[in-house]
Amino acid sequence: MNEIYFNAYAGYLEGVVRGYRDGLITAPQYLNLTQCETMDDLKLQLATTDYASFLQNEPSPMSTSTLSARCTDALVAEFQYLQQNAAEPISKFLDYITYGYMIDNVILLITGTLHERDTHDLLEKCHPLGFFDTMPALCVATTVQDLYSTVLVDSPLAGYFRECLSAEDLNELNIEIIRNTLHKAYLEDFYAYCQSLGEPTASIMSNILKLEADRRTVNITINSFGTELSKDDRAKLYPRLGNMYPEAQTRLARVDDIDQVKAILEQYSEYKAMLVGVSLGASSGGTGANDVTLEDRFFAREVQFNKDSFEQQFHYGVFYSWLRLKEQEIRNVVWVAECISQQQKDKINNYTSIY
Amino acid sequence: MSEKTSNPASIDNQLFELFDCVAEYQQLRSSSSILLRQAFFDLASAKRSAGYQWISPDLYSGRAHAIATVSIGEEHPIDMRVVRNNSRIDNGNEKGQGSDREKTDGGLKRRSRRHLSSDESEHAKLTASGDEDEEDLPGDTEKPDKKQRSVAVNDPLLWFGMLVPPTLKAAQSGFVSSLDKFVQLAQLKHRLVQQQQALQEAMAGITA
Repeated sequence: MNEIYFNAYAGYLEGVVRGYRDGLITAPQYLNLTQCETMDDLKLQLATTDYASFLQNEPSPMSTSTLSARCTDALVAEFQYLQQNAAEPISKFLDYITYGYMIDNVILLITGTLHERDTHDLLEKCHPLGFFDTMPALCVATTVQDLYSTVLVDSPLAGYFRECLSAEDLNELNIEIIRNTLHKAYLEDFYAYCQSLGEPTASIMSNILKLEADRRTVNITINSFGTELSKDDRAKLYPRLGNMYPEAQTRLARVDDIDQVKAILEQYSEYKAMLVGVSLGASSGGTGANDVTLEDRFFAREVQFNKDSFEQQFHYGVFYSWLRLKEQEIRNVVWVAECISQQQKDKINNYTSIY
Repeated sequence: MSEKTSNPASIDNQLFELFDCVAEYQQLRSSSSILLRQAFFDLASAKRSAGYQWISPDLYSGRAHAIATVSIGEEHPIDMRVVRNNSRIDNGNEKGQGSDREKTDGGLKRRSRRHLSSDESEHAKLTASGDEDEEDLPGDTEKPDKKQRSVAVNDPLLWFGMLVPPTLKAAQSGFVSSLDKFVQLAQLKHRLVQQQQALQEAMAGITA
C-alpha cells in the first residue's frame, strides 16, 4: 500500500534525490582527479561536477580546507532544497537526519567556549544543517543542567540529554562522554523511528544504522586506548544496536590493545571478511600505496549499503543514503587534494570509489 | 687561526670537516623532511577519519601557548636548545588529575574577567567563587588547582576531544620529534657558515 501513496507526497523529492545521485563523481572522473598535478588542475577538473559553481570564485591557490568547505556548501544547498520542498511525513525524516549535525554543533560551541574562543567565530563554523534557534545561547551555559534547562529543553535534542545529566561540570572528558552519549541516543532513536515507518524503509535503514553503530563501537574502542576514559565509561558509549550488540560490545569494552580488537572481530563472519588484508596499525589511507585500514573497509561497506538503497523505490532511505554518499565523495575529493598538495601521489588512490 | 691559515694541510682538514658537516646537514635535513612529511600525512589521515570539522583551527584553544621553546645563547648563538616545560606535562600525567579537575574545574566558567561583558555580570557573580581561571602567564600568582587545569589545555591533542584517532596522536608525535631536528639543523647551519668563513679566510691567506 505504501507504493500507491508514496509518490503523492514524496515522489518529486525521490526524483530529485535520484538526480542528485546521478551527479556523483564516477570512476573515470576520479581517475582524472588523481592525475592532477596541482590544486588548480584539480579545480579545473571539478568544474565538470556539481561543485563547479561553488568553486569557480575561489582564488588560487586553493587550500584543502577551502575545498572541503565549498564542497560542504554544495551538499548543504542540495539538502536544504529537499527540506524546503518536503512535507510530512518526509520532512520529519529529513529533520531526523539533521539532529546528528545539531549534536556536533552543540559540542563544537561548548568546546569552543571552554577554550575561550569568540562565540561569533564559532557560530560561523557550525554546520548549517545542524543550526537551531537557541544555539547561540549555548555559550553561556556552565554545567550540563544549565545547558539542558536554559537552551536545549526546547530543542529537538532534549530527549537525548537524559543520559547526560549525571555529568556535572563541562571539561574535556565529560564533553567527550556527552558527545558520544548524544550520538548513541540519537542513533537508537533514529533506528526506532525508521522501524516505525515500516517496510521497505525499516529494513534498508536498519542495515545502514546497524553498520553505523558497529563502526562507532570500533572507533570508540580504538580511540580510547591510552586515554582517561575508563572501561566502564567506554561500554556506556556503545550504541545499543548493531551486529556487535550486545556480545561483541561486552568483550570490546574490556580490551586494551588493537590486537585484541582484531581477535574479537575475527569471530564474526561479516567482520572477518572485512579484516582480510587490513593493516590495523596503519593510518587511514595506509602507510603504503596499497595498505588498507579497517576504517577504509567500513567506508566501503557503508558505500555498498547506501548504493543498494537506490535499488528499491518508495522508501525514505534514499535521502539518507544520498547524503552519506555525498559526504563520502567530499571525503574522497579532499583526500585527493591533500595527496596532491603534499606530493603523496603513491597514496592518492586510497579513496573509497562510489560508482 | 693564523697557524691554520698558513698551513695548506690544515686547509685540507678544514675542507674535509666542511664536507662532513655538509653531509651531516643534508642527512639531518632529509630525515627531518621525511618525519615532517609523514606527520602532515598523518594529520590529513586524521582529518579524513574524524571529520574535517573536528580537526581544524576552529578547535584551537584561545589560551594556547607554547609548551616548548627554543633558547638561544646571547654570547654563543650556536648554543640553541629546546626547552620543554616538562613540569606542566608531568602534572597532567598525575593520577587523579581527572577527578581533581572535575571537582575544581569551572568548565565553561573558565573565562578571564576582561572577556565578561555587562550582560554576563550576573553570570560572573554566580561563578565568582574562586573558580575563575586567569590566563596562565609567567609570574602570575596561580593556585595549584589552576596549574593542574592549565596542563590539560596545554596538550593540543585535547583540543580535539578525548577520543582522537591514532593518526592524530602519530602526527603530534612526528611534529614534536621534528622540533629537535630543526634545532640541530639550525646549529649545523651556523657551524657550516662559520667553517665556510674560516675556509675562505684561509684560502685568501694562501693566495695572498
